[in-house]
Amino acid sequence: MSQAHAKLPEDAPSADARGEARVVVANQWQLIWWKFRKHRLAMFAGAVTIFLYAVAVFAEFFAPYAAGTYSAAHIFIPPQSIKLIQQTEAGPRFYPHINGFKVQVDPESYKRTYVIDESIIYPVGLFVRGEEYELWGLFTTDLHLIGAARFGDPVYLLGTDRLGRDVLSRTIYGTRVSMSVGLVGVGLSLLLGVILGGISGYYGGMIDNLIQRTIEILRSLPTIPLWMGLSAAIPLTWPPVRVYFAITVLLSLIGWTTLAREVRGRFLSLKTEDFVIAARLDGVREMQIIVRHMAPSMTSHIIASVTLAIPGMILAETALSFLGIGLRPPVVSWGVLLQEAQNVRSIATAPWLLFPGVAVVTAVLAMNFLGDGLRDAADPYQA
Amino acid sequence: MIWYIGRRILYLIPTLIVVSIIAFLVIQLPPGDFLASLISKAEETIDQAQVDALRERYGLDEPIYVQYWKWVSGIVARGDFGDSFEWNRPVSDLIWERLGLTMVISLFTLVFIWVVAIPIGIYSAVKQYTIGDYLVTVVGFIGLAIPNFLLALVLMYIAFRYFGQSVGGLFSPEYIDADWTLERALDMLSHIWLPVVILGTSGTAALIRVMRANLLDELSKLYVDAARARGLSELRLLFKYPVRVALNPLVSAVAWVFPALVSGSAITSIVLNLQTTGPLLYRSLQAQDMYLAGSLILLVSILTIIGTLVSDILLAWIDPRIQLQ
Amino acid sequence: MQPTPTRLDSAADAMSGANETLLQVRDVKTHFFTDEGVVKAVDGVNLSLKRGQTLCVVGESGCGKSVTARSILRIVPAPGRIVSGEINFQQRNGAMIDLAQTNPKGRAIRHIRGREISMIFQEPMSSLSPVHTIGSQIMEAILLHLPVTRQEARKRAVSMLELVGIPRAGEQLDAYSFELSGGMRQRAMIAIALACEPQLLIADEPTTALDVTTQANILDLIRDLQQASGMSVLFITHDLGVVAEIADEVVVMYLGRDVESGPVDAIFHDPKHPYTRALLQSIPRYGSRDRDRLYSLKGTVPHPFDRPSGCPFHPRCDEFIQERCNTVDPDRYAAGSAQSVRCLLYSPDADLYAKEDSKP
Repeated sequence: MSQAHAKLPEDAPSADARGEARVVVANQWQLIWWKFRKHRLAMFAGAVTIFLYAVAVFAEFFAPYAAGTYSAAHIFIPPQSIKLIQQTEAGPRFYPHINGFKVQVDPESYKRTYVIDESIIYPVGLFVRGEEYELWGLFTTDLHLIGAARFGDPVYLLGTDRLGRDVLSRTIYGTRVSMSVGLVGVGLSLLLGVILGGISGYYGGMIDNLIQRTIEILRSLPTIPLWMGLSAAIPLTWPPVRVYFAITVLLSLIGWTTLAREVRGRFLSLKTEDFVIAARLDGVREMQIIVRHMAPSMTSHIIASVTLAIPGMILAETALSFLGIGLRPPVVSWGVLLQEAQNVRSIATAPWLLFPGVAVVTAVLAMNFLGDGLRDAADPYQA
Repeated sequence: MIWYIGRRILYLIPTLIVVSIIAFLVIQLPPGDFLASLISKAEETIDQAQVDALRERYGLDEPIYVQYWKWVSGIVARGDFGDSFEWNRPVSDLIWERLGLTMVISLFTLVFIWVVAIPIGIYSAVKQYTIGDYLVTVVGFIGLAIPNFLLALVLMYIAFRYFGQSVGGLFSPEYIDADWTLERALDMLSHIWLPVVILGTSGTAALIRVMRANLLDELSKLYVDAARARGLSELRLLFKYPVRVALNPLVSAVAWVFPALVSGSAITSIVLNLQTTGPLLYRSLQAQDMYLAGSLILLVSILTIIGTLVSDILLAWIDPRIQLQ
Repeated sequence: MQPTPTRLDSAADAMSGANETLLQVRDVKTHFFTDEGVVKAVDGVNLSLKRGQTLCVVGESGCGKSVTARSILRIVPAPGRIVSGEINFQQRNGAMIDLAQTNPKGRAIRHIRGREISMIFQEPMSSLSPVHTIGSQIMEAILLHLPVTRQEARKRAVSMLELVGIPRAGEQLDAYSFELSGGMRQRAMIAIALACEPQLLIADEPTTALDVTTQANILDLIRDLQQASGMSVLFITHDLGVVAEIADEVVVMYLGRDVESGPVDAIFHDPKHPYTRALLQSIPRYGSRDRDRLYSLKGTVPHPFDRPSGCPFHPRCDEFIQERCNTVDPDRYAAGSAQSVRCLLYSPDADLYAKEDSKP
């Protein structure tokens, strides 16, 4: 009767009798999936996340141009909007295109402004042929998802930066670095977190105390100044790939504490669960207990925590690179791109340079919603 | 209570040692000792005697732990943080006002976060699943997702583009290097709201979620029903019991909000050009002015550790169960 | 009224009004409107309680006992609400009030709560605030309902703690709930509940979470206090042993309804409803032959969304009549010495069907 007082309705499983019959035979992952599926926002966020990683993997295909392609004649071009219908003498027809620009130079300030010129038409298309690239070093192609239908037309959907580089393409290439920094950083954090959190939760006592104190100390430190201090020590002469790994290691050195806490907490509560005690009384070996009985019930929670930890990594990388002490050009990440928009003057000239920021917010939002949904679904036996 | 505070302060010692080691590590990390960079950067030649004196002072020829000891004991005994060669002044001359301003901004932001987050969190929990609740949730998520510096950039752009004014800084130009007067303090107050809002956004969003979740937990507890069965009015009931209990974790949240604030203010301050520790640290790191950088990291860390300590004591004071542990 | 806590003064009132009905619950339905559907937690319950008497409500988990108790005080949690029925309660001043009609957040019901009707809950740990002292919670009730100063309230609180048998009452007043044992917490809850001398105490399984010795102590305490004050007690339990010990009247509930009600002797010695009989048969008896298997009710309580048609008990009933029990919803019929039973076996035209049934 204890639950009846406050949560009576929640005790009730899903409505129809057939659904109930399925619940009986479903395994834990099916239950999690069913529960997660009900969470519409999380489903949507999951789709966005998958899309972002797809963009990261196939950046060359999604981007109209290569990350380094520049054009001195087209600097600071504002975003060009696609028009789907063209008015011809024969009436309107479906012809996706953008209009070209005329450059006007202010006679007094010599400031260049672009004025839309309706008479110039650059057709735009999907699956167009553009610059050649080698996808994953496996095969060479020149197929791009979107771009100028005629190779060589200046089509910059989100404008260009001070060197005439396409902001859209660079943001797409930035996805690869920024999203993977999150993933790799969390991977390293997870490794540290699971090992240390597991040790802490499993052995308890002195070791637990020591690890917990360490975590407390690390958590009470202001991370960004620390990151700044440590990453500033990365030699400028290092090759980009090494800088990339150094930064990820730095991020995870401080980021593992949350995951370690989570793992330890789960471990402690699982250790006293009846099914674990029962297994122990049945004489199952310790390793077996951990691998067969405890790990499966922890995995779902850990996946949720990992998802929630990735946005933090992305934000940290963005912040460091934005300051110029994280990743450095020629590496393209969202943070590196935002460096172009570091002061009001450059934003005032070209507000579209903030577009990588939109990508950051989208990615972080999506992963937060996804993680939230996963966390709710992680414990399918709880109402 | 006294025992509890004593124990907490005792725990502080290892933390401080770890922090000082990390800060010292930052000082030591760049290749070559700092004298080399000092000599290479100095405009006029430094005579050998002076170099030797400095070498002696920092113990540069001695093993690393001796150097560490000299540095730490100098700070503890004499308040000597070493010299900043970029500014050619003792570090301690440069940092105190900036540290003070960092503290002021962080505290203001903390108050802002609480004042905004608690009522909204309560509203959101009490009106669970209403349009208002959904709105709060969505806005909260967005607030969490926007990096501080991006928000600062966007707000600066909006102010520049639509109001034609350049925001940023903590003081009007005429007060930047002025001595502390009432006018200067008032001038600061008129500038501080922007960094406070920018810094506070993600913390507010986070605390609203914490408050809402805690309160929802508490609202379904039996003691709420018991108090209701005693004849308490809904409003009094709400504030006396569940809100009171739900506030406890919020007090302990200071322990992670405060470091995050100090941490986040580093970058926001650079973007907004505030006279806090952030931009100074940034510049010192770029110039490899390592004693300044290390000292700043040390002091900012100590600042957050003290903040955490205060929040722990506060929590023990309002929640009698804590002291038992 | 005079605050004389050691000798509760309403005893005299109760004597004069003996045999008068204090609480009458008529056909109350409390439903929970969830996303998945409507849960009819209480679906037509009737009970009546006389002054100074103890009424026990028994039934399995999920039969709606607690929701019934909560409905009386109007503290049913959302998304539940009373959809129909009457809860008539006679106030101290003699006026009748239908609690089902009151606004659950309004002044009228708040005046009843704690003053006229008090409630204690199953888990004494969670029904006390973790961050307030025992004393502050007792004094809260006193200050809320009685015209006394803080000092007087404090004195009264101490004497209430003494009354419920908490040693060193003066010190324990400033104790937090986590500093007390389970039994002491429940005593403190009782002290809070009785601080304003209510006419009715609703006890929702107050002993379930306690160990057996403590259970007995708490039951004794409630009984002693009842005798001293003359209050009525509505006791919710699933423990038939407790019922036998303290009840004057009994209501047996199944799936949100009263299936049988009557005096305790009649229920125990001459149960009429098949469910009541089954419940009584499933009590282990000392001295029974060890070969006998303990009777256990067949089937399980149906799913809340899946209420059986007709008599809700028919799928588990040993005396199920095909085409009758699963189609006709039984009314309450008089049966035996003083019971009322919701079972078609006792309907006026029952013989007819019984004969039909036994024809072949």
